[in-house]
Amino acid sequence: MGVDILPLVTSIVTFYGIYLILALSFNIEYGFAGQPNFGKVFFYSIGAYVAGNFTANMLMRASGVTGVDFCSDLAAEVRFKVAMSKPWLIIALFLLSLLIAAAVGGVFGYLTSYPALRLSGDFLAIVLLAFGEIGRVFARNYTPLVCGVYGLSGVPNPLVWIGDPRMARLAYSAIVLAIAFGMYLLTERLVNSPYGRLLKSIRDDELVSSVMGKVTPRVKGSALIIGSSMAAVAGVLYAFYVQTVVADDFIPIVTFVVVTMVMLGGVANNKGTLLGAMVMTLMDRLTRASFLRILGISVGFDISYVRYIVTGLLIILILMVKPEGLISEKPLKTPAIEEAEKLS
Amino acid sequence: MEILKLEGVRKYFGGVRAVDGVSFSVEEGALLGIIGPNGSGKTTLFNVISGVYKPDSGKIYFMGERIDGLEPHEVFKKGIVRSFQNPRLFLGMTVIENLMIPPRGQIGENPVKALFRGLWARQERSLAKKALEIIRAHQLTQVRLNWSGEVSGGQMKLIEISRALMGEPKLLLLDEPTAGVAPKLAREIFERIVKLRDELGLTFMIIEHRLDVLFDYVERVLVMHQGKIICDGPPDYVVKDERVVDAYLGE
Repeated sequence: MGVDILPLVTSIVTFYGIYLILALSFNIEYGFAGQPNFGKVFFYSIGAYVAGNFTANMLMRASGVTGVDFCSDLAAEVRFKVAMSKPWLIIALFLLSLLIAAAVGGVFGYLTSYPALRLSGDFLAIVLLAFGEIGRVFARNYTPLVCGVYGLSGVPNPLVWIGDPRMARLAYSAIVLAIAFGMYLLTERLVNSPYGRLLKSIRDDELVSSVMGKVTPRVKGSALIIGSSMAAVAGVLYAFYVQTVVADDFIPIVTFVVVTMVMLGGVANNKGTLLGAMVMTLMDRLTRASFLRILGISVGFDISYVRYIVTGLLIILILMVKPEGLISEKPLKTPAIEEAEKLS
Repeated sequence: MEILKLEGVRKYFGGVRAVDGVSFSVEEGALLGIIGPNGSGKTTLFNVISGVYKPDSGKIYFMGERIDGLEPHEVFKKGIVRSFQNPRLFLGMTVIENLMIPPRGQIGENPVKALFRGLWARQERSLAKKALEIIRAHQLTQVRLNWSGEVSGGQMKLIEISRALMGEPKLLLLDEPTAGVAPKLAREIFERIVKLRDELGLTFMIIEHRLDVLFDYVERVLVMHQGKIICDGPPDYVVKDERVVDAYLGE
Protein backbone atom coordinates (compact mmCIF):
# COMPACT_ATOMS: atom_id res chain seq x y z
CA MET A 1 0.00 0.00 0.00
CA GLY A 2 1.46 3.34 -1.07
CA VAL A 3 1.71 6.43 1.07
CA ASP A 4 -1.44 8.53 1.11
CA ILE A 5 -0.04 11.96 0.44
CA LEU A 6 -3.31 13.90 0.38
CA PRO A 7 -3.31 14.69 4.13
CA LEU A 8 0.30 15.84 3.84
CA VAL A 9 -0.53 18.21 1.00
CA THR A 10 -3.55 19.53 2.86
CA SER A 11 -1.55 20.08 5.99
CA ILE A 12 1.34 21.82 4.24
CA VAL A 13 -0.92 24.04 2.15
CA THR A 14 -3.06 25.06 5.11
CA PHE A 15 -0.15 25.81 7.40
CA TYR A 16 1.66 27.63 4.62
CA GLY A 17 -1.35 29.92 4.29
CA ILE A 18 -1.62 30.47 8.04
CA TYR A 19 2.10 31.08 8.51
CA LEU A 20 2.24 33.33 5.46
CA ILE A 21 -0.37 35.62 6.99
CA LEU A 22 1.51 35.69 10.29
CA ALA A 23 4.81 36.36 8.54
CA LEU A 24 3.34 39.15 6.40
CA SER A 25 1.92 40.76 9.52
CA PHE A 26 5.30 40.55 11.26
CA ASN A 27 6.97 41.97 8.17
CA ILE A 28 4.70 45.03 8.28
CA GLU A 29 5.45 45.57 11.97
CA TYR A 30 9.12 44.70 12.05
CA GLY A 31 10.37 44.68 8.47
CA PHE A 32 8.81 48.01 7.56
CA ALA A 33 8.02 49.82 10.81
CA GLY A 34 10.93 48.40 12.84
CA GLN A 35 8.73 47.30 15.74
CA PRO A 36 9.69 43.79 16.90
CA ASN A 37 6.33 42.37 17.89
CA PHE A 38 7.51 39.29 19.76
CA GLY A 39 3.97 38.89 21.03
CA LYS A 40 2.83 37.68 17.60
CA VAL A 41 1.49 34.40 19.01
CA PHE A 42 -0.73 36.36 21.41
CA PHE A 43 -2.66 38.03 18.59
CA TYR A 44 -2.74 34.74 16.71
CA SER A 45 -4.25 33.06 19.76
CA ILE A 46 -6.87 35.79 20.08
CA GLY A 47 -8.19 34.82 16.66
CA ALA A 48 -8.36 31.17 17.65
CA TYR A 49 -10.11 31.94 20.96
CA VAL A 50 -12.65 34.17 19.24
CA ALA A 51 -13.33 31.57 16.55
CA GLY A 52 -13.58 28.72 19.05
CA ASN A 53 -15.64 30.41 21.71
CA PHE A 54 -17.99 32.24 19.36
CA THR A 55 -18.58 29.33 16.99
CA ALA A 56 -19.03 26.77 19.75
CA ASN A 57 -21.50 28.96 21.63
CA MET A 58 -23.51 29.73 18.54
CA LEU A 59 -23.69 26.09 17.48
CA MET A 60 -24.82 25.06 20.96
CA ARG A 61 -27.56 27.65 20.78
CA ALA A 62 -28.64 26.52 17.32
CA SER A 63 -28.77 22.90 18.51
CA GLY A 64 -31.40 23.66 21.13
CA VAL A 65 -29.60 21.25 23.48
CA THR A 66 -29.36 22.60 27.01
CA GLY A 67 -27.83 21.41 30.23
CA VAL A 68 -24.77 19.98 28.51
CA ASP A 69 -21.31 21.07 29.62
CA PHE A 70 -19.89 23.30 26.90
CA CYS A 71 -16.50 21.57 27.20
CA SER A 72 -17.72 17.97 27.16
CA ASP A 73 -17.25 15.45 24.36
CA LEU A 74 -21.01 15.26 24.07
CA ALA A 75 -21.20 18.99 23.38
CA ALA A 76 -18.50 18.68 20.74
CA GLU A 77 -20.50 15.93 19.07
CA VAL A 78 -23.65 18.03 19.15
CA ARG A 79 -21.78 20.88 17.46
CA PHE A 80 -20.54 18.65 14.67
CA LYS A 81 -24.04 17.36 14.06
CA VAL A 82 -25.43 20.88 13.79
CA ALA A 83 -22.67 21.89 11.41
CA MET A 84 -23.29 18.79 9.29
CA SER A 85 -26.97 19.58 8.95
CA LYS A 86 -26.77 23.36 8.51
CA PRO A 87 -24.06 24.26 5.99
CA TRP A 88 -25.13 27.89 5.75
CA LEU A 89 -24.87 28.26 9.51
CA ILE A 90 -21.31 26.98 9.86
CA ILE A 91 -20.17 28.98 6.83
CA ALA A 92 -21.77 32.11 8.27
CA LEU A 93 -20.12 31.46 11.63
CA PHE A 94 -16.76 31.01 9.91
CA LEU A 95 -17.07 34.31 8.03
CA LEU A 96 -18.34 36.13 11.12
CA SER A 97 -15.47 34.71 13.15
CA LEU A 98 -13.01 36.17 10.64
CA LEU A 99 -14.59 39.60 10.92
CA ILE A 100 -14.94 39.59 14.69
CA ALA A 101 -11.42 38.26 15.20
CA ALA A 102 -9.96 40.89 12.88
CA ALA A 103 -11.71 43.58 14.90
CA VAL A 104 -10.83 42.10 18.32
CA GLY A 105 -7.22 41.53 17.20
CA GLY A 106 -7.03 45.15 16.10
CA VAL A 107 -8.43 46.37 19.42
CA PHE A 108 -5.90 44.30 21.37
CA GLY A 109 -3.18 45.57 19.03
CA TYR A 110 -4.23 49.09 19.93
CA LEU A 111 -4.42 48.37 23.67
CA THR A 112 -1.01 46.74 23.83
CA SER A 113 0.50 49.43 21.63
CA TYR A 114 -0.40 52.06 24.18
CA PRO A 115 2.13 51.06 26.84
CA ALA A 116 4.37 49.29 24.38
CA LEU A 117 5.03 52.24 22.10
CA ARG A 118 6.53 54.22 24.91
CA LEU A 119 9.31 51.66 24.78
CA SER A 120 11.65 50.97 21.95
CA GLY A 121 13.47 48.08 20.36
CA ASP A 122 14.49 45.34 22.78
CA PHE A 123 12.22 46.57 25.58
CA LEU A 124 9.22 46.56 23.30
CA ALA A 125 10.07 43.04 22.18
CA ILE A 126 10.24 41.75 25.78
CA VAL A 127 7.02 43.45 26.85
CA LEU A 128 5.13 42.00 23.90
CA LEU A 129 6.66 38.58 24.51
CA ALA A 130 5.33 38.81 28.06
CA PHE A 131 1.87 39.79 26.78
CA GLY A 132 1.81 36.56 24.82
CA GLU A 133 2.62 34.45 27.85
CA ILE A 134 0.12 36.33 30.01
CA GLY A 135 -2.54 35.63 27.40
CA ARG A 136 -1.71 31.94 27.27
CA VAL A 137 -1.68 31.49 31.05
CA PHE A 138 -4.94 33.38 31.31
CA ALA A 139 -6.66 31.22 28.67
CA ARG A 140 -5.28 28.11 30.32
CA ASN A 141 -6.89 29.00 33.63
CA TYR A 142 -10.04 30.79 32.64
CA THR A 143 -12.13 27.81 31.51
CA PRO A 144 -15.16 29.66 30.04
CA LEU A 145 -12.94 30.93 27.22
CA VAL A 146 -11.64 27.73 25.61
CA CYS A 147 -12.01 25.12 28.35
CA GLY A 148 -8.67 25.69 30.06
CA VAL A 149 -6.01 22.99 29.89
CA TYR A 150 -8.23 20.49 28.11
CA GLY A 151 -8.99 22.82 25.28
CA LEU A 152 -12.18 23.34 23.33
CA SER A 153 -12.94 20.67 20.78
CA GLY A 154 -15.81 20.58 18.33
CA VAL A 155 -15.04 23.63 16.26
CA PRO A 156 -16.15 22.06 12.99
CA ASN A 157 -14.44 22.56 9.69
CA PRO A 158 -16.76 25.00 7.88
CA LEU A 159 -16.96 22.53 4.97
CA VAL A 160 -17.68 19.50 7.17
CA TRP A 161 -21.07 19.05 5.44
CA ILE A 162 -19.29 17.92 2.25
CA GLY A 163 -19.26 14.56 3.96
CA ASP A 164 -15.87 13.11 3.06
CA PRO A 165 -13.57 14.59 5.72
CA ARG A 166 -10.54 14.31 3.42
CA MET A 167 -12.23 16.38 0.73
CA ALA A 168 -13.53 18.86 3.30
CA ARG A 169 -10.00 19.41 4.54
CA LEU A 170 -8.62 19.73 1.04
CA ALA A 171 -11.27 22.28 0.08
CA TYR A 172 -10.65 24.16 3.30
CA SER A 173 -6.91 24.29 2.64
CA ALA A 174 -7.65 25.88 -0.74
CA ILE A 175 -9.74 28.54 0.99
CA VAL A 176 -6.94 29.25 3.46
CA LEU A 177 -4.43 29.56 0.65
CA ALA A 178 -6.71 31.91 -1.25
CA ILE A 179 -7.20 34.12 1.81
CA ALA A 180 -3.45 34.14 2.44
CA PHE A 181 -2.69 35.10 -1.12
CA GLY A 182 -5.30 37.85 -0.92
CA MET A 183 -3.51 39.10 2.20
CA TYR A 184 -0.24 39.05 0.30
CA LEU A 185 -1.69 41.23 -2.45
CA LEU A 186 -3.21 43.60 0.10
CA THR A 187 0.08 43.85 2.00
CA GLU A 188 1.91 44.64 -1.23
CA ARG A 189 -0.57 47.42 -1.97
CA LEU A 190 -0.35 48.71 1.57
CA VAL A 191 3.43 49.06 1.70
CA ASN A 192 4.16 50.17 -1.86
CA SER A 193 2.76 53.55 -0.99
CA PRO A 194 3.53 56.68 1.00
CA TYR A 195 2.38 54.72 4.06
CA GLY A 196 5.07 52.09 3.50
CA ARG A 197 7.63 54.85 3.08
CA LEU A 198 6.41 56.45 6.29
CA LEU A 199 6.84 53.16 8.17
CA LYS A 200 10.37 52.78 6.82
CA SER A 201 11.27 56.31 7.90
CA ILE A 202 10.39 55.39 11.47
CA ARG A 203 12.36 52.16 11.24
CA ASP A 204 15.41 53.97 9.87
CA ASP A 205 15.44 57.00 12.19
CA GLU A 206 12.45 57.75 14.36
CA LEU A 207 13.75 61.11 15.60
CA VAL A 208 14.31 62.44 12.09
CA SER A 209 10.91 61.17 11.06
CA SER A 210 9.29 63.19 13.84
CA VAL A 211 11.41 66.24 13.01
CA MET A 212 10.00 65.85 9.49
CA GLY A 213 6.50 66.20 10.89
CA LYS A 214 5.45 62.61 11.42
CA VAL A 215 3.43 61.66 14.50
CA THR A 216 5.48 58.53 15.04
CA PRO A 217 3.64 56.91 18.00
CA ARG A 218 0.41 57.02 16.03
CA VAL A 219 2.02 55.50 12.96
CA LYS A 220 3.70 52.72 14.95
CA GLY A 221 0.35 52.05 16.61
CA SER A 222 -1.34 51.74 13.22
CA ALA A 223 1.22 49.14 12.11
CA LEU A 224 0.59 47.10 15.28
CA ILE A 225 -3.17 47.33 14.80
CA ILE A 226 -2.93 46.12 11.20
CA GLY A 227 -0.45 43.37 12.11
CA SER A 228 -2.51 42.17 15.08
CA SER A 229 -5.67 42.13 13.08
CA MET A 230 -4.02 39.98 10.40
CA ALA A 231 -2.57 37.61 13.02
CA ALA A 232 -6.05 37.15 14.51
CA VAL A 233 -7.39 36.19 11.08
CA ALA A 234 -4.65 33.55 10.89
CA GLY A 235 -5.78 32.32 14.31
CA VAL A 236 -9.34 31.81 13.06
CA LEU A 237 -8.08 29.83 10.06
CA TYR A 238 -6.02 27.69 12.42
CA ALA A 239 -8.89 26.98 14.82
CA PHE A 240 -11.22 25.82 12.05
CA TYR A 241 -8.50 23.62 10.58
CA VAL A 242 -7.42 21.76 13.71
CA GLN A 243 -11.02 21.94 15.01
CA THR A 244 -9.74 22.28 18.55
CA VAL A 245 -8.51 25.30 20.43
CA VAL A 246 -5.97 24.65 23.16
CA ALA A 247 -4.25 27.54 24.97
CA ASP A 248 -1.00 25.63 25.21
CA ASP A 249 -0.66 25.56 21.43
CA PHE A 250 0.19 29.24 21.59
CA ILE A 251 3.70 29.15 22.99
CA PRO A 252 6.52 31.59 22.13
CA ILE A 253 8.20 29.23 19.65
CA VAL A 254 5.35 29.97 17.22
CA THR A 255 6.40 33.63 17.26
CA PHE A 256 10.01 32.70 16.63
CA VAL A 257 9.18 30.44 13.72
CA VAL A 258 7.40 33.44 12.20
CA VAL A 259 10.31 35.77 13.01
CA THR A 260 12.65 33.31 11.29
CA MET A 261 10.46 33.28 8.18
CA VAL A 262 10.81 37.02 7.82
CA MET A 263 14.52 37.06 8.61
CA LEU A 264 15.20 34.19 6.24
CA GLY A 265 13.21 35.68 3.37
CA GLY A 266 14.54 39.19 3.92
CA VAL A 267 13.00 42.01 5.92
CA ALA A 268 10.77 44.60 4.26
CA ASN A 269 10.33 42.31 1.29
CA ASN A 270 7.06 40.45 0.89
CA LYS A 271 8.40 38.20 -1.86
CA GLY A 272 11.09 37.09 0.56
CA THR A 273 8.33 36.41 3.07
CA LEU A 274 6.61 34.09 0.57
CA LEU A 275 9.84 32.12 0.33
CA GLY A 276 10.77 32.21 4.03
CA ALA A 277 7.27 31.07 5.00
CA MET A 278 7.54 28.12 2.61
CA VAL A 279 10.89 26.93 3.98
CA MET A 280 9.84 27.28 7.60
CA THR A 281 6.43 25.68 7.05
CA LEU A 282 8.13 22.59 5.65
CA MET A 283 10.52 22.59 8.59
CA ASP A 284 7.64 23.01 11.01
CA ARG A 285 5.59 20.16 9.48
CA LEU A 286 8.50 17.76 9.06
CA THR A 287 9.39 17.98 12.73
CA ARG A 288 6.06 16.60 13.88
CA ALA A 289 5.73 12.93 14.68
CA SER A 290 2.10 12.83 13.50
CA PHE A 291 3.18 14.16 10.13
CA LEU A 292 6.11 11.79 9.73
CA ARG A 293 3.97 8.82 10.66
CA ILE A 294 1.86 9.36 7.55
CA LEU A 295 5.07 9.10 5.54
CA GLY A 296 5.83 5.87 7.37
CA ILE A 297 8.82 7.37 9.14
CA SER A 298 9.39 6.96 12.83
CA VAL A 299 12.35 8.24 14.76
CA GLY A 300 13.50 6.98 18.11
CA PHE A 301 13.16 10.31 19.92
CA ASP A 302 10.73 13.19 20.29
CA ILE A 303 11.23 14.93 16.95
CA SER A 304 9.40 18.08 17.99
CA TYR A 305 12.48 19.31 19.82
CA VAL A 306 14.34 19.38 16.51
CA ARG A 307 12.10 22.30 15.63
CA TYR A 308 13.56 24.41 18.42
CA ILE A 309 17.12 23.51 17.47
CA VAL A 310 16.63 24.18 13.76
CA THR A 311 14.86 27.49 14.40
CA GLY A 312 17.62 28.69 16.72
CA LEU A 313 20.37 27.56 14.37
CA LEU A 314 18.71 29.21 11.40
CA ILE A 315 18.42 32.55 13.21
CA ILE A 316 22.12 32.45 14.11
CA LEU A 317 23.15 31.33 10.62
CA ILE A 318 21.14 34.05 8.87
CA LEU A 319 22.60 36.72 11.14
CA MET A 320 26.14 35.47 10.51
CA VAL A 321 26.03 34.63 6.82
CA LYS A 322 23.26 36.63 5.17
CA PRO A 323 21.77 39.22 7.52
CA GLU A 324 19.77 40.80 4.68
CA GLY A 325 17.97 37.48 4.05
CA LEU A 326 17.63 35.43 0.88
CA ILE A 327 16.03 38.28 -1.08
CA SER A 328 17.33 41.71 -0.11
CA GLU A 329 15.23 44.84 0.30
CA LYS A 330 14.21 46.74 -2.83
CA PRO A 331 12.99 50.32 -3.21
CA LEU A 332 9.22 50.57 -2.75
CA LYS A 333 7.26 50.48 -5.99
CA THR A 334 5.71 53.93 -5.81
CA PRO A 335 4.95 56.54 -8.48
CA ALA A 336 7.86 58.59 -7.08
CA ILE A 337 10.31 55.88 -8.10
CA GLU A 338 8.66 55.61 -11.52
CA GLU A 339 9.08 59.36 -12.02
CA ALA A 340 12.73 59.13 -11.02
CA GLU A 341 13.28 56.23 -13.41
CA LYS A 342 11.77 58.20 -16.28
CA LEU A 343 14.69 60.64 -16.19
CA SER A 344 17.84 59.44 -17.83
CA MET B 1 8.48 91.33 10.93
CA GLU B 2 9.96 89.06 13.56
CA ILE B 3 9.69 85.41 12.61
CA LEU B 4 11.54 83.91 15.57
CA LYS B 5 12.19 85.26 19.05
CA LEU B 6 14.02 83.60 21.94
CA GLU B 7 13.82 84.96 25.48
CA GLY B 8 16.24 83.69 28.11
CA VAL B 9 16.37 80.14 26.75
CA ARG B 10 18.36 77.71 28.90
CA LYS B 11 19.24 74.07 28.39
CA TYR B 12 21.61 72.37 30.85
CA PHE B 13 22.87 68.81 30.78
CA GLY B 14 23.83 68.15 34.38
CA GLY B 15 26.56 70.69 35.00
CA VAL B 16 27.05 71.54 31.35
CA ARG B 17 25.39 74.79 30.40
CA ALA B 18 24.85 73.99 26.74
CA VAL B 19 22.54 76.92 26.12
CA ASP B 20 22.73 79.48 28.88
CA GLY B 21 20.14 82.24 28.75
CA VAL B 22 20.01 83.01 25.06
CA SER B 23 17.82 85.84 23.76
CA PHE B 24 17.62 87.13 20.23
CA SER B 25 15.16 87.61 17.44
CA VAL B 26 15.26 86.97 13.72
CA GLU B 27 13.54 89.05 11.04
CA GLU B 28 11.56 87.31 8.37
CA GLY B 29 13.67 86.80 5.25
CA ALA B 30 16.92 87.07 7.19
CA LEU B 31 20.05 85.12 6.40
CA LEU B 32 21.58 84.55 9.79
CA GLY B 33 24.87 82.80 10.42
CA ILE B 34 25.67 81.14 13.74
CA ILE B 35 29.29 80.53 14.55
CA GLY B 36 31.29 79.61 17.59
CA PRO B 37 33.93 77.12 18.71
CA ASN B 38 33.07 73.42 19.04
CA GLY B 39 30.86 72.77 22.04
CA SER B 40 29.63 76.33 22.26
CA GLY B 41 25.98 75.27 22.08
CA LYS B 42 25.04 75.91 18.44
CA THR B 43 23.57 72.51 17.70
CA THR B 44 21.84 72.36 21.08
CA LEU B 45 20.23 75.69 20.20
CA PHE B 46 18.86 74.10 17.01
CA ASN B 47 17.68 71.07 18.98
CA VAL B 48 15.81 73.30 21.42
CA ILE B 49 14.18 75.37 18.68
CA SER B 50 13.14 72.29 16.67
CA GLY B 51 11.60 70.53 19.69
CA VAL B 52 14.16 67.74 19.94
CA TYR B 53 14.98 69.03 23.44
CA LYS B 54 12.65 70.91 25.74
CA PRO B 55 14.29 74.06 27.14
CA ASP B 56 14.75 74.12 30.93
CA SER B 57 13.47 77.67 30.95
CA GLY B 58 12.83 80.58 28.64
CA LYS B 59 10.37 81.24 25.86
CA ILE B 60 10.51 80.67 22.12
CA TYR B 61 8.09 82.44 19.80
CA PHE B 62 7.60 81.57 16.14
CA MET B 63 5.49 84.07 14.21
CA GLY B 64 4.14 85.33 17.49
CA GLU B 65 3.18 81.89 18.88
CA ARG B 66 4.89 80.08 21.76
CA ILE B 67 6.59 76.94 20.44
CA ASP B 68 8.85 75.94 23.32
CA GLY B 69 7.86 72.54 24.70
CA LEU B 70 6.13 71.45 21.49
CA GLU B 71 6.92 68.06 19.99
CA PRO B 72 9.23 68.01 16.95
CA HIS B 73 6.37 67.16 14.59
CA GLU B 74 4.36 70.11 15.91
CA VAL B 75 7.29 72.48 15.39
CA PHE B 76 7.60 71.15 11.85
CA LYS B 77 3.94 71.83 11.21
CA LYS B 78 4.43 75.47 12.22
CA GLY B 79 6.98 75.77 9.43
CA ILE B 80 10.40 75.19 10.97
CA VAL B 81 12.45 72.51 9.22
CA ARG B 82 16.01 71.55 10.01
CA SER B 83 18.92 69.56 8.68
CA PHE B 84 21.43 67.59 10.71
CA GLN B 85 25.13 68.20 11.15
CA ASN B 86 26.04 64.53 10.78
CA PRO B 87 23.77 63.41 7.98
CA ARG B 88 20.88 61.36 9.32
CA LEU B 89 19.35 59.99 6.17
CA PHE B 90 16.84 57.18 5.98
CA LEU B 91 19.33 54.52 4.94
CA GLY B 92 16.79 51.90 3.91
CA MET B 93 15.55 54.20 1.18
CA THR B 94 16.79 55.68 -2.06
CA VAL B 95 17.74 59.34 -2.36
CA ILE B 96 14.45 60.31 -4.01
CA GLU B 97 12.47 58.48 -1.32
CA ASN B 98 14.30 60.46 1.37
CA LEU B 99 13.02 63.62 -0.25
CA MET B 100 9.49 62.23 -0.38
CA ILE B 101 9.20 61.96 3.41
CA PRO B 102 8.77 65.61 4.49
CA PRO B 103 6.00 66.84 2.15
CA ARG B 104 2.91 67.72 4.12
CA GLY B 105 -0.56 66.32 3.68
CA GLN B 106 0.36 63.19 1.74
CA ILE B 107 -2.91 61.37 1.18
CA GLY B 108 -1.28 57.96 0.82
CA GLU B 109 0.23 58.11 4.30
CA ASN B 110 -3.13 57.02 5.63
CA PRO B 111 -3.06 53.19 5.72
CA VAL B 112 -6.61 52.82 4.40
CA LYS B 113 -6.16 55.31 1.56
CA ALA B 114 -2.78 53.74 0.78
CA LEU B 115 -4.66 50.74 -0.60
CA PHE B 116 -6.28 52.88 -3.29
CA ARG B 117 -3.55 54.18 -5.54
CA GLY B 118 -5.99 56.31 -7.50
CA LEU B 119 -6.48 58.52 -4.45
CA TRP B 120 -2.87 59.59 -4.14
CA ALA B 121 -0.88 58.73 -7.28
CA ARG B 122 -1.34 62.17 -8.86
CA GLN B 123 -0.26 64.00 -5.73
CA GLU B 124 2.72 61.66 -5.44
CA ARG B 125 3.81 62.30 -9.03
CA SER B 126 3.69 66.05 -8.66
CA LEU B 127 5.65 65.88 -5.39
CA ALA B 128 8.17 63.60 -7.08
CA LYS B 129 8.63 66.12 -9.89
CA LYS B 130 9.32 68.82 -7.34
CA ALA B 131 11.79 66.53 -5.58
CA LEU B 132 13.57 65.80 -8.86
CA GLU B 133 13.88 69.55 -9.49
CA ILE B 134 15.56 70.01 -6.13
CA ILE B 135 17.72 66.95 -6.79
CA ARG B 136 18.85 68.45 -10.07
CA ALA B 137 19.64 71.79 -8.44
CA HIS B 138 21.92 70.01 -5.99
CA GLN B 139 23.64 67.94 -8.67
CA LEU B 140 22.25 64.70 -7.28
CA THR B 141 20.51 63.49 -10.43
CA GLN B 142 23.08 60.77 -11.03
CA VAL B 143 22.49 59.23 -7.59
CA ARG B 144 18.72 59.80 -7.30
CA LEU B 145 18.01 56.07 -7.25
CA ASN B 146 21.01 55.05 -5.11
CA TRP B 147 20.45 53.85 -1.59
CA SER B 148 21.03 56.96 0.48
CA GLY B 149 23.95 55.29 2.26
CA GLU B 150 25.68 54.68 -1.07
CA VAL B 151 26.63 58.26 -1.94
CA SER B 152 29.61 60.43 -0.97
CA GLY B 153 29.79 62.35 2.30
CA GLY B 154 29.31 65.65 0.47
CA GLN B 155 26.30 64.29 -1.34
CA MET B 156 24.80 63.22 1.98
CA LYS B 157 24.96 66.84 3.14
CA LEU B 158 23.25 67.92 -0.07
CA ILE B 159 20.51 65.34 0.45
CA GLU B 160 20.04 66.72 3.98
CA ILE B 161 19.44 70.22 2.59
CA SER B 162 17.26 68.94 -0.25
CA ARG B 163 15.13 66.93 2.15
CA ALA B 164 14.65 69.93 4.44
CA LEU B 165 13.55 72.04 1.46
CA MET B 166 10.87 69.49 0.64
CA GLY B 167 9.24 70.30 4.00
CA GLU B 168 8.05 73.68 2.66
CA PRO B 169 9.69 75.58 5.49
CA LYS B 170 9.20 79.17 6.47
CA LEU B 171 12.33 78.98 8.59
CA LEU B 172 15.19 76.63 7.76
CA LEU B 173 17.76 75.63 10.32
CA LEU B 174 20.80 74.30 8.49
CA ASP B 175 23.49 72.70 10.61
CA GLU B 176 26.80 72.97 8.75
CA PRO B 177 25.34 72.59 5.27
CA THR B 178 28.69 72.70 3.50
CA ALA B 179 30.88 70.58 5.78
CA GLY B 180 32.60 68.01 3.58
CA VAL B 181 31.37 69.63 0.38
CA ALA B 182 33.84 70.73 -2.33
CA PRO B 183 34.61 74.48 -2.12
CA LYS B 184 33.04 75.33 -5.46
CA LEU B 185 29.85 73.48 -4.59
CA ALA B 186 29.82 75.08 -1.14
CA ARG B 187 29.57 78.50 -2.77
CA GLU B 188 26.89 77.24 -5.12
CA ILE B 189 24.88 76.03 -2.14
CA PHE B 190 25.08 79.45 -0.53
CA GLU B 191 24.17 81.16 -3.77
CA ARG B 192 21.12 78.93 -3.95
CA ILE B 193 20.22 79.75 -0.36
CA VAL B 194 20.35 83.47 -1.18
CA LYS B 195 18.17 82.83 -4.22
CA LEU B 196 15.62 80.88 -2.19
CA ARG B 197 15.51 83.68 0.33
CA ASP B 198 15.07 86.33 -2.38
CA GLU B 199 12.52 84.42 -4.43
CA LEU B 200 10.47 82.60 -1.81
CA GLY B 201 11.10 84.78 1.20
CA LEU B 202 12.42 81.90 3.30
CA THR B 203 14.35 82.67 6.45
CA PHE B 204 17.63 80.86 7.11
CA MET B 205 19.65 80.21 10.24
CA ILE B 206 22.90 78.55 9.29
CA ILE B 207 25.50 77.03 11.57
CA GLU B 208 28.79 77.02 9.71
CA HIS B 209 32.47 76.58 10.39
CA ARG B 210 33.64 77.75 6.97
CA LEU B 211 33.67 81.38 7.88
CA ASP B 212 35.28 82.48 4.61
CA VAL B 213 32.27 81.17 2.67
CA LEU B 214 29.63 82.09 5.25
CA PHE B 215 30.73 85.72 5.63
CA ASP B 216 30.35 86.33 1.91
CA TYR B 217 26.64 85.59 2.02
CA VAL B 218 25.05 86.31 5.40
CA GLU B 219 24.09 89.75 6.64
CA ARG B 220 24.19 88.97 10.32
CA VAL B 221 26.20 86.61 12.50
CA LEU B 222 25.56 85.36 16.01
CA VAL B 223 28.65 84.19 17.85
CA MET B 224 28.16 81.61 20.60
CA HIS B 225 30.61 80.74 23.31
CA GLN B 226 29.95 78.52 26.33
CA GLY B 227 26.22 78.59 25.74
CA LYS B 228 25.93 82.35 25.49
CA ILE B 229 25.73 84.76 22.61
CA ILE B 230 28.82 86.88 22.88
CA CYS B 231 28.47 88.92 19.73
CA ASP B 232 25.72 89.78 17.25
CA GLY B 233 26.23 91.83 14.13
CA PRO B 234 27.29 91.97 10.50
CA PRO B 235 30.27 89.80 9.53
CA ASP B 236 32.82 92.61 9.28
CA TYR B 237 31.83 93.83 12.73
CA VAL B 238 31.98 90.36 14.26
CA VAL B 239 35.45 89.48 12.99
CA LYS B 240 36.92 92.56 14.62
CA ASP B 241 35.31 91.92 18.00
CA GLU B 242 37.87 91.05 20.66
CA ARG B 243 35.58 88.63 22.50
CA VAL B 244 35.13 86.65 19.31
CA VAL B 245 38.84 86.50 18.64
CA ASP B 246 39.39 85.37 22.25
CA ALA B 247 36.73 82.69 21.99
CA TYR B 248 38.29 81.21 18.89
CA LEU B 249 41.96 81.62 19.77
CA GLY B 250 41.77 81.35 23.54
CA GLU B 251 42.37 84.24 25.91
